[in-house]
Amino acid sequence: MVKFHDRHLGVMMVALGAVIIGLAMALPGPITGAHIAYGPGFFPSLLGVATMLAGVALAIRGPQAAKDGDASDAEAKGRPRFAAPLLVLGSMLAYVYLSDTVGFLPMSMVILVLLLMVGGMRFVSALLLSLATSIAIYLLFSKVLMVPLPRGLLQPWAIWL
Amino acid sequence: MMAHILSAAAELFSPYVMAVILGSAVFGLFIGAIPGLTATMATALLVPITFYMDPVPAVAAMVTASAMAMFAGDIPSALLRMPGTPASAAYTDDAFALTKKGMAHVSLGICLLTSAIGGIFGALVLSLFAPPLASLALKFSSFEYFWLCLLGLTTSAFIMQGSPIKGIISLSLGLFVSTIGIDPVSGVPRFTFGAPSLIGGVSLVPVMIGVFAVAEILRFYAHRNPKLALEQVELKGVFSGQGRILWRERKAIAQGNVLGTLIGIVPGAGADIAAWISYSVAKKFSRKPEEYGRGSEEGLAAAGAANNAAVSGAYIPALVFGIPGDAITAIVIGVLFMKGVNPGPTIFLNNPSTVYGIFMAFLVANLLMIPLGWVAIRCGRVILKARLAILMPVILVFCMVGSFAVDNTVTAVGVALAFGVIGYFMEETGIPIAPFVLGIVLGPLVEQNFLTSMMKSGGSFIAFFDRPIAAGLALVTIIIWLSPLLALFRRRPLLQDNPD
Repeated sequence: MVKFHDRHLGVMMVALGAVIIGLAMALPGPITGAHIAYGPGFFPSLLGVATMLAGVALAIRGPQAAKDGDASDAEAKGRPRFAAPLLVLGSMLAYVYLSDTVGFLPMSMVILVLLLMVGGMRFVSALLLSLATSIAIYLLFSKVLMVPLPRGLLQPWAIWL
Repeated sequence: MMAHILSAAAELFSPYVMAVILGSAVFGLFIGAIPGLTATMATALLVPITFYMDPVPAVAAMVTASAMAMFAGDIPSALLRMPGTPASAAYTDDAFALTKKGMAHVSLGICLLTSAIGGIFGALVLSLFAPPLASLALKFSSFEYFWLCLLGLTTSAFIMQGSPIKGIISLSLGLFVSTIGIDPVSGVPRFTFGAPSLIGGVSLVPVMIGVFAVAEILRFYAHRNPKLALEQVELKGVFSGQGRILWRERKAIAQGNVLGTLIGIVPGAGADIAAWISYSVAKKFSRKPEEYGRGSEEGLAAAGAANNAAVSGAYIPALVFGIPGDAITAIVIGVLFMKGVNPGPTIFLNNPSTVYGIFMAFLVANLLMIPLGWVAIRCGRVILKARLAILMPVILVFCMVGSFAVDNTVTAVGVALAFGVIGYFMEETGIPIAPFVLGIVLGPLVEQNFLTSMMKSGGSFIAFFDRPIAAGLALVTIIIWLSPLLALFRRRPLLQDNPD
């Protein structure tokens, strides 16, 4: 995830504002004969204009001198990493598409083990911790708050859950 | 009125609600004490749990957790030189300098007691001024509401640290997100791209979980985190000698209380700004300004009181007008709406015992802060040993289940994911998050009041300035809009010196 230059950000915002205006224009106009003189696209297109203007201002102004603390902060952080945040995104996406068939407990355990090991934990401790945490979260949401968490693969043993 | 107060007290002091308050207090202290986990995040993570509660315990839980987290943010300031929440950043250097002098217990004692004093002061102002303000607000028309919303959005976009241009970008995008779904005026679905799950609009809870929790998780994994050195210090005697110190710094504390509450009341400005402003005001009028940054007890007392006073003060516009003062109250407003309790002047007519329950929850939470905060300080070193590498995966699973719990669909998990990425991207590019969130919450209110006003006035903008209160609000808003232009003229020579 690249550190964005303010000029690039400005250009992106101009484009985004244009897209918002375009989408807003595509909405139906005000209903003729009604009391409403402004269509559903009126307010969003104002927002599109505001986004574009701010984008232009940002692109013209360019980067500002870093405020105190900012520069050292960026240095301390170093170059961003890609793999670990992508794993977080992948876990969430997988949860969206697979949780219904696989079930909450197995999904949560796999995600936890993976991320804990990325954090430097050994497999056995990660496994034990993920088991304990998953069951605790399951009990809290499923038994106390009555959220129907998917059972998925564990359906045959539903009586035990 | 007495009957409402009594029924609110009966509900608040029931064993169930007390247990909820105690649980959220411990949760808030823990989250706030860990750098990287903020008071706002603590509130956002509580939403899925409070979703199943009545309004009073739900708000009491969030009030308690946010107040506790706000104080607990001072613990790592003193022990790690790292603010636990952004609102502690103003006086981190002072807290740590005192620790270096072997006075960690003194600095944390000041933080704890001034936090409680500030919180209670803000809560008293809230209880005294909210009801009369609400009866005034009943006379407000769409013009006043439009300007009030705009004032809140404007302050959040302009006063935030960083550039107002990025604040405007953040605000416009947040308002745009709020227009997704059926347009209540024309009944036309907007920007849903044919997705049926978007017709009702983007659901607020997964959005909050996304921008405040998932984004932080992504940030944690994207950056190498510096190893922090924990100061090995004695933390006994937190309260010893505090009476004398508090009396000596009474002016600073009073200043922090008043300024903090006032800044909390301004819609759009919250605890972070309150701490910074109160700290610099205290420094400006101090007899010993050279001590600031090197362990000033005065600065600590002023800003420590200010951030907690602002947490309480922010509930005034939230409850009276339905306009959140900061990100935390934006979440609380969202939760109240979901429970069918509409914040705004009518809440005082329709749900008076809920309102009194919230007032009392503030007092209880801030009183409870003193003993529980003492325990947290004594356990500070243990809490700070908790490793983010272990906590973050657990928080992620919690985020997914929490978003799912709102309407039992995985779509909400997808929304949390999407807004997590947006929040991460915004933070990386220096776009502030708060205006975005306020825009999402206030968007429908701004648009409807704007359109209603335009229809009433027949398309003339002059009517927006006709009524005295509306004109006053408009004036303040426009002055804030023009302020960066004025600042630009002043700074021009400086910029020319620096060709970059």
